[in-house]
Amino acid sequence: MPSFLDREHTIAPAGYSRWLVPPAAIAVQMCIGEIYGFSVFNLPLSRSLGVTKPTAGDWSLPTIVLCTYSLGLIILGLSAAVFGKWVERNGPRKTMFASACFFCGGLVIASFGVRLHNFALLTLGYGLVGGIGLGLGYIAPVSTLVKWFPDRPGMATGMAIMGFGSGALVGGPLGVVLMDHFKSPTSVGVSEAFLVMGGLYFVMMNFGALIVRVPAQGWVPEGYVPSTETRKLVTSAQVSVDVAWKTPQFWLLWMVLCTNVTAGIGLLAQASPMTQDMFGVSAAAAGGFVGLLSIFNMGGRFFWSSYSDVIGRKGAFCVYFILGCILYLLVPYSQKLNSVTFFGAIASVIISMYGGGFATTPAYLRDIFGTMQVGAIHGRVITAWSMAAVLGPQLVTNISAYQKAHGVPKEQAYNTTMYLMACILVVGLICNLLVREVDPKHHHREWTA
Amino acid sequence: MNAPSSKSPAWLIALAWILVALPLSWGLYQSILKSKPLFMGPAPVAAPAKPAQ
Repeated sequence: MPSFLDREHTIAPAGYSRWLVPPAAIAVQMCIGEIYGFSVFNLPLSRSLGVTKPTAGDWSLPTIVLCTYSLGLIILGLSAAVFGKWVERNGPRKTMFASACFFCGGLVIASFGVRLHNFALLTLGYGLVGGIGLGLGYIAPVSTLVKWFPDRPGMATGMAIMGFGSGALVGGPLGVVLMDHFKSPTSVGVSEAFLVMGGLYFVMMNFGALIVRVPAQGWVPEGYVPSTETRKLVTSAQVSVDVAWKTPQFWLLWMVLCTNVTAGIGLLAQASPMTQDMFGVSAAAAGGFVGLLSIFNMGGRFFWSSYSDVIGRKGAFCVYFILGCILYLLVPYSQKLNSVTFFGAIASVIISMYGGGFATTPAYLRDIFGTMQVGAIHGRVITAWSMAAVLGPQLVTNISAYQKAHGVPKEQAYNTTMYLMACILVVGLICNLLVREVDPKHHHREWTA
Repeated sequence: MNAPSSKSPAWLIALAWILVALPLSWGLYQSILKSKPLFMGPAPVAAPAKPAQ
Protein backbone atom coordinates (compact mmCIF):
# COMPACT_ATOMS: atom_id res chain seq x y z
CA MET A 1 0.00 0.00 0.00
CA PRO A 2 1.25 3.57 -0.67
CA SER A 3 3.22 5.06 2.21
CA PHE A 4 0.98 8.16 2.52
CA LEU A 5 -1.60 5.82 4.03
CA ASP A 6 0.72 4.92 6.92
CA ARG A 7 0.02 6.14 10.42
CA GLU A 8 3.24 8.20 10.61
CA HIS A 9 2.25 10.11 7.44
CA THR A 10 -1.12 11.05 8.93
CA ILE A 11 0.14 12.84 12.04
CA ALA A 12 -1.52 16.24 12.03
CA PRO A 13 0.69 19.31 11.58
CA ALA A 14 0.26 22.16 14.05
CA GLY A 15 -2.79 24.19 13.05
CA TYR A 16 -4.76 21.25 11.68
CA SER A 17 -8.41 21.68 12.67
CA ARG A 18 -9.87 18.77 14.58
CA TRP A 19 -13.26 19.68 13.04
CA LEU A 20 -12.10 17.96 9.84
CA VAL A 21 -12.13 14.59 11.58
CA PRO A 22 -15.89 14.24 12.27
CA PRO A 23 -16.90 14.72 8.59
CA ALA A 24 -14.18 12.23 7.61
CA ALA A 25 -15.66 9.72 10.05
CA ILE A 26 -19.26 10.44 8.99
CA ALA A 27 -18.32 10.06 5.29
CA VAL A 28 -17.08 6.52 5.93
CA GLN A 29 -19.80 5.51 8.38
CA MET A 30 -22.61 6.89 6.21
CA CYS A 31 -21.46 4.69 3.33
CA ILE A 32 -21.03 1.45 5.26
CA GLY A 33 -24.28 2.15 7.16
CA GLU A 34 -25.97 1.41 3.83
CA ILE A 35 -26.44 -2.11 5.19
CA TYR A 36 -29.27 -0.76 7.39
CA GLY A 37 -31.12 0.18 4.20
CA PHE A 38 -30.46 -3.14 2.47
CA SER A 39 -34.12 -4.21 2.83
CA VAL A 40 -35.00 -2.16 -0.29
CA PHE A 41 -33.13 -4.77 -2.36
CA ASN A 42 -34.84 -7.79 -0.79
CA LEU A 43 -37.94 -8.01 -2.97
CA PRO A 44 -36.20 -7.09 -6.27
CA LEU A 45 -33.50 -9.70 -5.52
CA SER A 46 -36.18 -12.32 -4.92
CA ARG A 47 -37.41 -11.83 -8.51
CA SER A 48 -34.10 -11.14 -10.24
CA LEU A 49 -34.83 -13.88 -12.82
CA GLY A 50 -38.58 -13.43 -13.20
CA VAL A 51 -38.25 -9.59 -13.03
CA THR A 52 -41.98 -8.91 -12.58
CA LYS A 53 -42.62 -11.83 -10.22
CA PRO A 54 -40.54 -14.65 -8.69
CA THR A 55 -40.03 -17.61 -10.97
CA ALA A 56 -38.46 -21.07 -10.69
CA GLY A 57 -34.79 -20.63 -9.85
CA ASP A 58 -35.27 -17.28 -8.11
CA TRP A 59 -33.75 -16.89 -4.64
CA SER A 60 -35.99 -17.09 -1.58
CA LEU A 61 -36.39 -14.02 0.62
CA PRO A 62 -35.17 -15.59 3.93
CA THR A 63 -32.02 -16.91 2.20
CA ILE A 64 -31.26 -13.50 0.72
CA VAL A 65 -31.64 -11.78 4.11
CA LEU A 66 -29.57 -14.42 5.91
CA CYS A 67 -26.66 -14.46 3.43
CA THR A 68 -26.42 -10.72 2.83
CA TYR A 69 -27.76 -8.55 5.68
CA SER A 70 -27.35 -10.97 8.61
CA LEU A 71 -24.04 -12.42 7.39
CA GLY A 72 -22.72 -8.89 6.76
CA LEU A 73 -23.50 -7.88 10.35
CA ILE A 74 -21.97 -11.07 11.77
CA ILE A 75 -18.78 -10.55 9.74
CA LEU A 76 -18.78 -6.90 10.86
CA GLY A 77 -18.46 -8.01 14.48
CA LEU A 78 -15.92 -10.71 13.76
CA SER A 79 -13.69 -8.57 11.56
CA ALA A 80 -13.80 -5.68 14.03
CA ALA A 81 -12.65 -8.11 16.73
CA VAL A 82 -9.95 -9.77 14.60
CA PHE A 83 -8.55 -6.63 12.92
CA GLY A 84 -8.85 -4.28 15.92
CA LYS A 85 -5.11 -4.43 16.74
CA TRP A 86 -4.19 -4.01 13.08
CA VAL A 87 -6.37 -0.90 12.96
CA GLU A 88 -4.65 0.57 16.02
CA ARG A 89 -1.21 -0.15 14.51
CA ASN A 90 -1.90 1.18 11.04
CA GLY A 91 -4.02 4.21 11.83
CA PRO A 92 -7.30 5.50 10.45
CA ARG A 93 -6.28 6.45 6.90
CA LYS A 94 -5.00 3.04 5.87
CA THR A 95 -7.96 1.40 7.61
CA MET A 96 -10.52 3.65 5.92
CA PHE A 97 -8.87 2.96 2.55
CA ALA A 98 -8.92 -0.80 3.23
CA SER A 99 -12.54 -0.51 4.36
CA ALA A 100 -13.46 1.27 1.10
CA CYS A 101 -11.69 -1.43 -0.96
CA PHE A 102 -13.47 -4.26 0.87
CA PHE A 103 -16.91 -2.69 1.14
CA CYS A 104 -17.07 -1.28 -2.39
CA GLY A 105 -15.26 -4.31 -3.82
CA GLY A 106 -17.92 -6.42 -2.12
CA LEU A 107 -20.64 -4.40 -3.83
CA VAL A 108 -18.95 -4.94 -7.21
CA ILE A 109 -18.67 -8.71 -6.59
CA ALA A 110 -22.31 -8.78 -5.45
CA SER A 111 -23.27 -6.88 -8.61
CA PHE A 112 -21.69 -9.62 -10.75
CA GLY A 113 -23.38 -12.20 -8.55
CA VAL A 114 -26.79 -10.70 -9.36
CA ARG A 115 -25.98 -10.32 -13.06
CA LEU A 116 -24.81 -13.95 -13.37
CA HIS A 117 -27.53 -15.09 -10.93
CA ASN A 118 -24.82 -16.72 -8.85
CA PHE A 119 -25.86 -16.77 -5.19
CA ALA A 120 -22.37 -17.77 -3.96
CA LEU A 121 -20.94 -14.61 -5.55
CA LEU A 122 -23.66 -12.45 -3.97
CA THR A 123 -22.93 -13.97 -0.54
CA LEU A 124 -19.18 -13.64 -1.01
CA GLY A 125 -19.51 -10.02 -2.14
CA TYR A 126 -22.09 -8.49 0.18
CA GLY A 127 -21.86 -10.82 3.17
CA LEU A 128 -18.17 -11.76 3.44
CA VAL A 129 -15.98 -9.22 1.61
CA GLY A 130 -18.40 -6.36 2.28
CA GLY A 131 -18.71 -7.46 5.92
CA ILE A 132 -14.95 -7.12 6.42
CA GLY A 133 -15.20 -3.57 5.03
CA LEU A 134 -18.01 -2.88 7.50
CA GLY A 135 -15.96 -4.02 10.49
CA LEU A 136 -12.87 -2.03 9.48
CA GLY A 137 -14.84 1.12 8.66
CA TYR A 138 -16.90 0.95 11.83
CA ILE A 139 -13.99 0.99 14.26
CA ALA A 140 -11.49 3.01 12.20
CA PRO A 141 -12.50 6.54 13.20
CA VAL A 142 -13.58 5.85 16.78
CA SER A 143 -10.25 5.88 18.61
CA THR A 144 -9.06 8.75 16.41
CA LEU A 145 -12.05 10.88 17.39
CA VAL A 146 -11.67 10.01 21.07
CA LYS A 147 -8.06 11.26 20.92
CA TRP A 148 -9.04 14.48 19.11
CA PHE A 149 -11.85 15.29 21.56
CA PRO A 150 -10.59 14.45 25.07
CA ASP A 151 -12.87 17.22 26.35
CA ARG A 152 -16.04 15.77 24.74
CA PRO A 153 -15.46 12.08 23.95
CA GLY A 154 -19.16 11.21 24.06
CA MET A 155 -20.08 13.87 21.54
CA ALA A 156 -17.17 12.83 19.30
CA THR A 157 -18.06 9.14 19.18
CA GLY A 158 -21.72 10.14 18.87
CA MET A 159 -20.95 12.02 15.65
CA ALA A 160 -19.10 9.06 14.14
CA ILE A 161 -21.62 6.42 15.11
CA MET A 162 -24.45 8.76 14.05
CA GLY A 163 -23.00 8.50 10.55
CA PHE A 164 -23.59 4.75 10.58
CA GLY A 165 -27.19 5.28 11.68
CA SER A 166 -27.70 7.71 8.81
CA GLY A 167 -26.63 5.05 6.30
CA ALA A 168 -30.18 3.74 5.98
CA LEU A 169 -31.57 7.23 5.36
CA VAL A 170 -29.21 7.71 2.43
CA GLY A 171 -28.60 4.15 1.19
CA GLY A 172 -32.25 3.06 1.15
CA PRO A 173 -33.64 5.90 -1.01
CA LEU A 174 -30.49 5.91 -3.17
CA GLY A 175 -30.95 2.20 -3.87
CA VAL A 176 -34.59 2.79 -4.84
CA VAL A 177 -33.71 5.70 -7.15
CA LEU A 178 -30.95 3.70 -8.86
CA MET A 179 -33.09 0.58 -9.29
CA ASP A 180 -35.88 2.69 -10.80
CA HIS A 181 -33.38 4.25 -13.19
CA PHE A 182 -31.82 0.98 -14.33
CA LYS A 183 -34.79 -1.40 -14.33
CA SER A 184 -35.78 -2.78 -17.70
CA PRO A 185 -37.96 -5.63 -19.02
CA THR A 186 -34.99 -7.94 -18.48
CA SER A 187 -33.49 -6.55 -15.24
CA VAL A 188 -34.69 -5.46 -11.81
CA GLY A 189 -31.81 -2.97 -11.75
CA VAL A 190 -30.10 -4.33 -8.61
CA SER A 191 -26.85 -5.31 -10.35
CA GLU A 192 -26.43 -1.86 -11.87
CA ALA A 193 -27.45 -0.15 -8.61
CA PHE A 194 -24.79 -2.11 -6.67
CA LEU A 195 -22.15 -1.11 -9.22
CA VAL A 196 -23.00 2.60 -9.13
CA MET A 197 -23.24 2.59 -5.33
CA GLY A 198 -19.85 0.86 -5.13
CA GLY A 199 -18.34 3.68 -7.22
CA LEU A 200 -20.03 6.52 -5.35
CA TYR A 201 -19.21 5.08 -1.94
CA PHE A 202 -15.58 4.46 -2.94
CA VAL A 203 -15.14 8.16 -3.75
CA MET A 204 -16.93 9.28 -0.56
CA MET A 205 -15.02 6.91 1.73
CA ASN A 206 -11.66 7.87 0.26
CA PHE A 207 -12.53 11.52 0.72
CA GLY A 208 -12.80 10.66 4.42
CA ALA A 209 -9.52 8.74 4.30
CA LEU A 210 -7.75 11.70 2.66
CA ILE A 211 -8.70 14.33 5.22
CA VAL A 212 -8.41 12.26 8.41
CA ARG A 213 -5.39 12.81 10.63
CA VAL A 214 -4.21 11.56 14.00
CA PRO A 215 -3.11 14.04 16.67
CA ALA A 216 0.60 14.38 17.44
CA GLN A 217 1.65 12.74 20.69
CA GLY A 218 0.89 14.99 23.65
CA TRP A 219 -1.52 17.21 21.67
CA VAL A 220 -4.41 18.72 23.62
CA PRO A 221 -7.10 21.12 22.42
CA GLU A 222 -6.40 24.81 22.90
CA GLY A 223 -7.41 25.92 26.37
CA TYR A 224 -8.11 22.38 27.50
CA VAL A 225 -6.78 21.54 30.94
CA PRO A 226 -7.18 17.89 31.85
CA SER A 227 -9.13 17.59 35.08
CA THR A 228 -6.84 16.92 38.04
CA GLU A 229 -9.60 15.65 40.27
CA THR A 230 -10.27 11.94 39.95
CA ARG A 231 -13.64 11.23 38.41
CA LYS A 232 -15.29 7.98 39.30
CA LEU A 233 -15.03 5.45 36.46
CA VAL A 234 -12.84 7.71 34.29
CA THR A 235 -9.32 6.35 34.27
CA SER A 236 -6.11 8.09 33.31
CA ALA A 237 -4.41 4.69 33.09
CA GLN A 238 -4.25 2.47 30.00
CA VAL A 239 -5.20 -1.17 29.53
CA SER A 240 -4.08 -3.16 26.48
CA VAL A 241 -6.64 -5.08 24.45
CA ASP A 242 -5.04 -8.43 25.33
CA VAL A 243 -5.52 -7.72 29.03
CA ALA A 244 -8.82 -5.83 28.76
CA TRP A 245 -10.84 -8.71 27.40
CA LYS A 246 -9.85 -10.86 30.37
CA THR A 247 -11.29 -8.38 32.89
CA PRO A 248 -14.86 -8.61 34.27
CA GLN A 249 -15.44 -5.00 33.13
CA PHE A 250 -15.06 -6.05 29.48
CA TRP A 251 -17.69 -8.77 29.77
CA LEU A 252 -20.05 -6.58 31.79
CA LEU A 253 -19.84 -3.93 29.08
CA TRP A 254 -20.28 -6.66 26.45
CA MET A 255 -23.53 -7.65 28.20
CA VAL A 256 -24.58 -4.01 28.56
CA LEU A 257 -24.26 -3.51 24.78
CA CYS A 258 -25.77 -6.90 23.95
CA THR A 259 -28.91 -6.37 26.06
CA ASN A 260 -29.44 -2.79 24.87
CA VAL A 261 -29.07 -3.82 21.23
CA THR A 262 -31.18 -7.00 21.57
CA ALA A 263 -34.11 -5.01 22.92
CA GLY A 264 -33.78 -2.22 20.35
CA ILE A 265 -33.14 -4.33 17.28
CA GLY A 266 -36.03 -6.62 18.20
CA LEU A 267 -38.37 -3.66 17.88
CA LEU A 268 -36.61 -2.09 14.90
CA ALA A 269 -36.57 -5.28 12.83
CA GLN A 270 -40.27 -5.93 13.43
CA ALA A 271 -41.56 -2.35 13.47
CA SER A 272 -43.38 -2.65 10.16
CA PRO A 273 -45.39 -5.86 10.83
CA MET A 274 -45.94 -4.75 14.45
CA THR A 275 -47.65 -1.48 13.51
CA GLN A 276 -49.72 -3.28 10.88
CA ASP A 277 -50.82 -6.03 13.30
CA MET A 278 -51.32 -3.83 16.36
CA PHE A 279 -53.00 -0.82 14.78
CA GLY A 280 -54.10 -2.02 11.36
CA VAL A 281 -52.16 0.69 9.49
CA SER A 282 -51.32 0.20 5.81
CA ALA A 283 -48.02 -1.31 4.64
CA ALA A 284 -47.03 2.10 3.18
CA ALA A 285 -47.65 3.86 6.50
CA ALA A 286 -45.74 1.12 8.34
CA GLY A 287 -42.83 1.61 5.91
CA GLY A 288 -42.92 5.33 6.69
CA PHE A 289 -42.85 4.53 10.38
CA VAL A 290 -39.63 2.53 9.90
CA GLY A 291 -38.13 5.58 8.15
CA LEU A 292 -39.14 7.74 11.10
CA LEU A 293 -37.46 5.33 13.50
CA SER A 294 -34.26 5.56 11.43
CA ILE A 295 -34.23 9.30 12.05
CA PHE A 296 -34.50 8.74 15.81
CA ASN A 297 -31.91 5.98 15.62
CA MET A 298 -29.52 8.45 14.02
CA GLY A 299 -30.39 11.46 16.20
CA GLY A 300 -30.23 9.42 19.41
CA ARG A 301 -26.65 8.48 18.66
CA PHE A 302 -25.58 12.10 18.78
CA PHE A 303 -27.98 13.35 21.47
CA TRP A 304 -27.58 10.61 24.09
CA SER A 305 -23.85 10.21 23.59
CA SER A 306 -23.31 13.96 23.97
CA TYR A 307 -25.55 13.90 27.05
CA SER A 308 -23.35 11.14 28.51
CA ASP A 309 -20.53 13.73 28.66
CA VAL A 310 -22.69 15.48 31.26
CA ILE A 311 -24.15 12.61 33.30
CA GLY A 312 -21.40 10.03 32.76
CA ARG A 313 -21.56 6.78 30.78
CA LYS A 314 -22.86 4.68 33.63
CA GLY A 315 -25.62 7.20 34.27
CA ALA A 316 -26.50 7.33 30.58
CA PHE A 317 -26.87 3.55 30.37
CA CYS A 318 -28.97 3.59 33.56
CA VAL A 319 -31.31 6.00 31.76
CA TYR A 320 -31.44 3.74 28.67
CA PHE A 321 -32.27 0.69 30.76
CA ILE A 322 -34.73 2.18 33.27
CA LEU A 323 -36.59 4.44 30.83
CA GLY A 324 -36.44 1.71 28.16
CA CYS A 325 -37.94 -0.81 30.57
CA ILE A 326 -40.85 1.52 31.44
CA LEU A 327 -41.47 2.29 27.76
CA TYR A 328 -41.52 -1.39 26.75
CA LEU A 329 -44.10 -2.04 29.47
CA LEU A 330 -46.19 0.81 28.03
CA VAL A 331 -46.31 -0.66 24.50
CA PRO A 332 -49.24 -3.05 25.26
CA TYR A 333 -51.05 -0.10 26.88
CA SER A 334 -50.66 1.96 23.68
CA GLN A 335 -52.35 -0.91 21.83
CA LYS A 336 -55.16 -0.95 24.41
CA LEU A 337 -55.65 2.78 23.77
CA ASN A 338 -55.42 2.03 20.04
CA SER A 339 -53.15 5.08 19.76
CA VAL A 340 -50.60 4.74 16.99
CA THR A 341 -49.25 8.20 17.89
CA PHE A 342 -48.54 7.10 21.48
CA PHE A 343 -46.90 3.93 20.19
CA GLY A 344 -44.88 5.96 17.69
CA ALA A 345 -43.64 8.27 20.46
CA ILE A 346 -42.68 5.29 22.68
CA ALA A 347 -40.91 3.44 19.87
CA SER A 348 -39.06 6.59 18.78
CA VAL A 349 -37.60 7.15 22.27
CA ILE A 350 -36.70 3.45 22.59
CA ILE A 351 -34.90 3.48 19.23
CA SER A 352 -33.13 6.75 20.07
CA MET A 353 -31.70 5.03 23.16
CA TYR A 354 -30.80 1.95 21.08
CA GLY A 355 -28.70 4.25 18.89
CA GLY A 356 -27.45 6.09 21.97
CA GLY A 357 -26.14 2.81 23.41
CA PHE A 358 -24.02 2.19 20.31
CA ALA A 359 -22.56 5.68 20.43
CA THR A 360 -21.94 5.76 24.18
CA THR A 361 -20.10 2.42 24.23
CA PRO A 362 -16.76 3.61 22.78
CA ALA A 363 -16.68 6.54 25.22
CA TYR A 364 -17.51 4.13 28.08
CA LEU A 365 -14.64 1.88 26.97
CA ARG A 366 -12.33 4.87 26.83
CA ASP A 367 -13.33 5.83 30.39
CA ILE A 368 -12.70 2.32 31.70
CA PHE A 369 -9.67 1.17 29.66
CA GLY A 370 -8.05 4.44 28.47
CA THR A 371 -7.36 5.56 24.89
CA MET A 372 -4.28 3.42 24.13
CA GLN A 373 -6.09 0.56 22.35
CA VAL A 374 -9.71 1.68 22.63
CA GLY A 375 -10.36 0.94 18.94
CA ALA A 376 -9.23 -2.66 19.30
CA ILE A 377 -11.19 -3.14 22.53
CA HIS A 378 -14.25 -1.61 20.86
CA GLY A 379 -13.76 -4.06 18.00
CA ARG A 380 -14.03 -6.99 20.39
CA VAL A 381 -17.04 -5.59 22.24
CA ILE A 382 -18.86 -5.23 18.93
CA THR A 383 -19.24 -9.01 18.76
CA ALA A 384 -22.08 -8.36 21.23
CA TRP A 385 -23.88 -6.60 18.38
CA SER A 386 -23.51 -9.63 16.10
CA MET A 387 -25.04 -11.79 18.82
CA ALA A 388 -27.87 -9.31 19.39
CA ALA A 389 -28.52 -8.94 15.64
CA VAL A 390 -29.46 -12.62 15.60
CA LEU A 391 -31.10 -12.79 19.06
CA GLY A 392 -33.39 -9.72 18.96
CA PRO A 393 -35.29 -10.29 15.71
CA GLN A 394 -35.50 -14.05 16.37
CA LEU A 395 -37.09 -13.47 19.80
CA VAL A 396 -39.71 -11.03 18.50
CA THR A 397 -40.53 -13.03 15.37
CA ASN A 398 -40.75 -16.45 17.01
CA ILE A 399 -42.61 -15.45 20.18
CA SER A 400 -45.21 -13.39 18.30
CA ALA A 401 -45.62 -16.21 15.74
CA TYR A 402 -46.10 -18.70 18.60
CA GLN A 403 -48.70 -16.43 20.23
CA LYS A 404 -50.62 -16.05 16.97
CA ALA A 405 -50.50 -19.81 16.37
CA HIS A 406 -52.01 -20.34 19.84
CA GLY A 407 -55.01 -18.13 19.25
CA VAL A 408 -53.82 -14.83 20.72
CA PRO A 409 -55.35 -11.97 18.67
CA LYS A 410 -52.70 -10.48 16.41
CA GLU A 411 -53.12 -7.05 18.07
CA GLN A 412 -51.93 -8.57 21.36
CA ALA A 413 -49.41 -11.05 19.93
CA TYR A 414 -46.47 -8.77 20.74
CA ASN A 415 -47.29 -8.11 24.42
CA THR A 416 -45.29 -11.04 25.82
CA THR A 417 -42.28 -10.05 23.73
CA MET A 418 -42.45 -6.50 25.07
CA TYR A 419 -42.45 -7.82 28.67
CA LEU A 420 -39.50 -10.04 27.78
CA MET A 421 -37.60 -7.07 26.32
CA ALA A 422 -38.22 -5.17 29.58
CA CYS A 423 -36.70 -8.14 31.49
CA ILE A 424 -33.67 -8.16 29.16
CA LEU A 425 -33.16 -4.47 29.93
CA VAL A 426 -33.24 -5.24 33.67
CA VAL A 427 -30.39 -7.73 33.12
CA GLY A 428 -28.51 -4.97 31.28
CA LEU A 429 -29.14 -2.55 34.14
CA ILE A 430 -27.70 -5.02 36.68
CA CYS A 431 -24.58 -5.54 34.53
CA ASN A 432 -24.18 -1.77 34.18
CA LEU A 433 -24.48 -1.23 37.93
CA LEU A 434 -21.77 -3.87 38.49
CA VAL A 435 -19.18 -2.00 36.37
CA ARG A 436 -16.28 -0.77 38.52
CA GLU A 437 -12.78 0.62 37.83
CA VAL A 438 -10.24 -1.83 36.40
CA ASP A 439 -7.90 -3.28 39.00
CA PRO A 440 -4.57 -1.32 38.80
CA LYS A 441 -2.67 -4.61 38.34
CA HIS A 442 -4.07 -4.66 34.77
CA HIS A 443 -2.76 -1.18 33.89
CA HIS A 444 -0.22 -0.90 31.10
CA ARG A 445 3.10 0.41 32.42
CA GLU A 446 4.95 1.71 29.31
CA TRP A 447 2.44 4.18 27.92
CA THR A 448 2.95 7.87 27.45
CA ALA A 449 -0.20 9.75 26.46
CA MET B 1 9.25 14.37 14.83
CA ASN B 2 8.50 18.03 14.24
CA ALA B 3 5.35 18.32 12.19
CA PRO B 4 5.22 21.37 9.88
CA SER B 5 2.66 24.02 10.80
CA SER B 6 -0.22 24.61 8.39
CA LYS B 7 -3.58 25.94 9.45
CA SER B 8 -6.58 24.09 8.00
CA PRO B 9 -8.36 26.52 5.65
CA ALA B 10 -11.92 27.40 6.64
CA TRP B 11 -13.18 26.55 3.12
CA LEU B 12 -11.88 23.00 3.46
CA ILE B 13 -13.68 22.51 6.77
CA ALA B 14 -16.88 23.97 5.30
CA LEU B 15 -16.56 21.81 2.16
CA ALA B 16 -16.03 18.66 4.23
CA TRP B 17 -19.16 19.32 6.28
CA ILE B 18 -21.22 20.25 3.21
CA LEU B 19 -20.17 17.05 1.46
CA VAL B 20 -21.57 14.93 4.27
CA ALA B 21 -24.54 17.20 5.03
CA LEU B 22 -25.89 17.13 1.46
CA PRO B 23 -26.63 13.40 1.18
CA LEU B 24 -27.74 13.35 4.81
CA SER B 25 -30.29 16.13 4.23
CA TRP B 26 -31.56 14.41 1.09
CA GLY B 27 -31.97 11.15 3.03
CA LEU B 28 -33.76 12.94 5.87
CA TYR B 29 -36.13 14.64 3.42
CA GLN B 30 -36.91 11.31 1.72
CA SER B 31 -37.62 9.64 5.08
CA ILE B 32 -39.91 12.42 6.26
CA LEU B 33 -41.81 12.28 2.95
CA LYS B 34 -42.17 8.51 3.33
CA SER B 35 -43.41 8.76 6.92
CA LYS B 36 -46.25 11.17 6.02
CA PRO B 37 -48.88 8.44 5.44
CA LEU B 38 -48.50 7.40 9.11
CA PHE B 39 -49.92 10.70 10.27
CA MET B 40 -52.72 10.85 7.71
CA GLY B 41 -56.05 9.28 8.46
CA PRO B 42 -56.99 5.90 7.04
CA ALA B 43 -57.85 5.96 3.35
CA PRO B 44 -61.60 6.42 2.81
CA VAL B 45 -63.36 3.18 2.11
CA ALA B 46 -64.55 3.18 -1.47
CA ALA B 47 -68.31 2.90 -1.91
CA PRO B 48 -69.32 -0.50 -3.29
CA ALA B 49 -69.70 -0.36 -7.02
CA LYS B 50 -73.22 -0.65 -8.34
CA PRO B 51 -73.80 -3.95 -10.06
CA ALA B 52 -73.83 -3.62 -13.79
CA GLN B 53 -77.34 -3.33 -15.15
